[in-house]
Amino acid sequence: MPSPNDSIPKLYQRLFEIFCKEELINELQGDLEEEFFLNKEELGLRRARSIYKAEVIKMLRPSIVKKTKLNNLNFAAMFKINAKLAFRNLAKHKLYTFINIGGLAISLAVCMLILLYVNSEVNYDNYHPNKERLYRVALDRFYPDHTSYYALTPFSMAEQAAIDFPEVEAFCRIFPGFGIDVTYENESFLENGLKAADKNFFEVFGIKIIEGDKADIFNVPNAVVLSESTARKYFGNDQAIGKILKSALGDLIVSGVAEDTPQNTHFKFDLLLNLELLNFLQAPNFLNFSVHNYLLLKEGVDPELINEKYVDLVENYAAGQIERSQNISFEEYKASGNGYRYYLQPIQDIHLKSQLEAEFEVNGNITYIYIFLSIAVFIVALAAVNFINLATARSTERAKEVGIRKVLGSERKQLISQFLFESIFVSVVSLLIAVALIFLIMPAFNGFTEKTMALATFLTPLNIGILLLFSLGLGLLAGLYPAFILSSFKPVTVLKGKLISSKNGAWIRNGLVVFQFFISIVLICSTLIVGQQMDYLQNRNLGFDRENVLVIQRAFNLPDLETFKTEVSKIPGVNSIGGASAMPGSGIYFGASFRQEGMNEAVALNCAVFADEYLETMNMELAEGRSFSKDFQDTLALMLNESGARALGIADNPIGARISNVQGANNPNGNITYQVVGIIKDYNYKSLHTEITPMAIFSSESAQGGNVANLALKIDPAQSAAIVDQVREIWRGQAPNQTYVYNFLDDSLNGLYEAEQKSGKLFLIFTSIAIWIACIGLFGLATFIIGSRIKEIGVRKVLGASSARVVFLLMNDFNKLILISVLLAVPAAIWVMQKWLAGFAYRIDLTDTWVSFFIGGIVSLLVAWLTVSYHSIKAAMSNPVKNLRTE
Amino acid sequence: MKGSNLGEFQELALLTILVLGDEAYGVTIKREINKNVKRAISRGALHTALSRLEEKGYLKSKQGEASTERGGRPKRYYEVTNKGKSALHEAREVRDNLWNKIPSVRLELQYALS
Repeated sequence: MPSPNDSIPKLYQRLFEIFCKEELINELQGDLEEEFFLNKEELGLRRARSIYKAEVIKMLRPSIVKKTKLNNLNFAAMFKINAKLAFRNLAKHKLYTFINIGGLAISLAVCMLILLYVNSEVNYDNYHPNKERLYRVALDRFYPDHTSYYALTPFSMAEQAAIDFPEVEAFCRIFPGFGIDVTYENESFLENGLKAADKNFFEVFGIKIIEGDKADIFNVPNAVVLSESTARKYFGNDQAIGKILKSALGDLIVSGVAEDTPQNTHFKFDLLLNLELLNFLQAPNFLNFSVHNYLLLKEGVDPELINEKYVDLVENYAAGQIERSQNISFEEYKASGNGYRYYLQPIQDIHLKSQLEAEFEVNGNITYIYIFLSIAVFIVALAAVNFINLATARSTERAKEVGIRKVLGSERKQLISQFLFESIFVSVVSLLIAVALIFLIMPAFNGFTEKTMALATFLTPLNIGILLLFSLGLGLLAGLYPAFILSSFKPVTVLKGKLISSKNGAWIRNGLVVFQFFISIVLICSTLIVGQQMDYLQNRNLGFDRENVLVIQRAFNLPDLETFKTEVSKIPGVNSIGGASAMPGSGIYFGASFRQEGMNEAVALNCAVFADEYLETMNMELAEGRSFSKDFQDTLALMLNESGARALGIADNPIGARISNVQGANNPNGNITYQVVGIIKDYNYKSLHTEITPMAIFSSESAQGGNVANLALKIDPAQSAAIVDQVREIWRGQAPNQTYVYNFLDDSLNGLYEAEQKSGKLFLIFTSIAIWIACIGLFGLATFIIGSRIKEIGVRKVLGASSARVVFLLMNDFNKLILISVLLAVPAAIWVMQKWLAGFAYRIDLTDTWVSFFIGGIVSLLVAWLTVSYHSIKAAMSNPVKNLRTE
Repeated sequence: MKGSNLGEFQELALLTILVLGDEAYGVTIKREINKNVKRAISRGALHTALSRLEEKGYLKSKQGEASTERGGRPKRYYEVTNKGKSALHEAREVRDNLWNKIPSVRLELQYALS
């Protein structure tokens, strides 16, 4: 038979037992239960249970609830006394108070800033209506000698999946866009934030339409949706819908206005076109990477399943296309090391976990999030350690106070509550100061991280609660040890003047000091290594000159490139002009497949187009052969980089080799055979995050010549401003309706490593704060430790010890601790840094950075000496008589 | 003497205990009151009233025998002391006096109006 008690709400029963006075439990609990069973008979179980619960809650009244210990005293009076004593104590020890409150406030502020930052990073794409089921299709593309990772995938990849896989509910494609000039009533803007998407864009993604009808926003091919700020830019406060914008793509009809893309989105747009307008995309295509494909899966579908189905999709659709263009069977193609692995990325993971080629924008990095979070924890831990350390160190000093208060009749719990009150007071005040600090720092921090974070959005009731609880907990933790140890002192021993040598206290103190130095050394070493890696990236020989190169973009808008070049070359200070389809680091390369003549197997290479003199302008080195030149007819000439020659299997004797560009997207009309005229030394044409991959280079005289989009000018740095202006004049003369866009190569290359540089700087700032906090902690600690040994120093000096000897003695204690910290910190720093460096294809060797570890150790030792020596020298130099007199 | 007068709820509780006689303990008192005044009172509120009455000396209580029902928890039986009874009488007298003083016409009229 089941126990009849089973149906009583257990939780409430327990609760009642906890709060009810001992002497009443029997009677009341019995009554409650009896009534419960009566009610169960009469009203049914459910009613009975809810009545029981209500009854228990209503038992919460003073006559029933257990008296807590606090209630025994006069709480208000005690609070007042505690507060008064705390103020007096804090005011008396100004240094101590400053170190504690200052350190804690700054570290809490830094910690909150980091949390704000992390919060803004981890909440990307969390506002889409079906975000849990929304995925992007990404691709691992295997080549015979390397693998590339693409965010951009073929046009039909999602569409076909939606047709073939019943698990797919909807698909949407976004074309990453390009820059075009858009004109409205004689006012023209260069629009770089242009994207194109399928009709259901605003249903799949959570971006809100402010004006216009969501259902048929793209009902004509040339419809365009503007972001709110773009609409305002063109039309001010006028109605935007129905207005016509002129562009190279024809007339665009504004069909809607959307809110500005929320900052926490992995893509942004100013103008969104109807994908149908872009004719060049429309044919079914399973090979050429052109759009970002998104799939909305049905409820409960495992994305793994779709990943597997994509294998078949490639076999069914892409294979045929490959066979037609490459003239080999798909099996052979795969056997030679080629392959496609499509997979789904959850949309919310894209910002932090996806670093593929052709992302919409430079994404964040989850590693940095972890690093920052650990720094936040470190910094707060350091301040907490200071707090605890100082409190324990001071316990000797306060022992007498405790002794006297005990003699005068203080109860132990009263003393405990006083110490706890003091430390909680300090931590809560620090919290308030920290919040004030954040208000001050916020604008600068936002400017630095290019985010718009607001403290107001972060300070939700929940977060405020967490912060309060946290600071209460911290205060409690820090106060706990001194509170219990101090209050347990026997008044007689203390007042007799016996030195309190609390062995436990020393042990904890030393442990905490080691901990602080451990963290500081790890941070110092890591900062140094991060700095070296950033230096390495910036100064590494990239294989070309990055300095003094002016890049004129969008050269294809010029009616005649040659005339422009001739005009520009007349400008004084312009040393040479070259042109290329893509500048290093820009990442825009097209793909084409090549086959060594007489071979079956084709290899896909990244391709670029170079004009004459480009190599000379960029100072790139030739390994063999010649570069394109006016003196030759280069229509069918081809250059390769060294990796490209290896990939085609002609590395031994490349010059003069005949290479066939197989029919594909770049040459729809059939195979064209080129002759290799030169081999360029491998240079980093993308970023240093990725390895150098095989590349083929067409001449601007070839059929691909129209791709030359950038002109590179090697200029005299002293005249750069004048040159920029003069080129603008020439541009205006030749292409009056096109915007003149230029940049300096080194700027754009540095942009590639901006994320690292920013993180590096943040890292440096946070590390300095952490080290500073550790130092002030040590400083405070030294004050108290030496203070407690002042008599010993006096005695030693009277007995003949020299000042130097005394200083050495005092320092030695700290030296040991630092040595231990170094031994622990070096392996930890190595481990952390290995993880970080793994993210770079080109990186420094950790063994080359042993100096950093050396410096880390020495710096921390020096810092410790500096902080400690102030006090030890002061103590050692002072007159022993004075020391001995001190009470 | 402070607290010598009875609150309405306290008076109700005392009377109920008298009604119940030997069977007056938490559950029965509560149920009886609920039945008579059509008002849900909680056990907690009842406890407050009972303990206050006991403090004043109007009630005394004794623990009953432990029994197997109620999970072996003994009941606490309440009994009205002589002091409690006289307090009840006193309260009733005050009220009766007042009732008697009301001119009957006024009372009737009020009824008619309401």
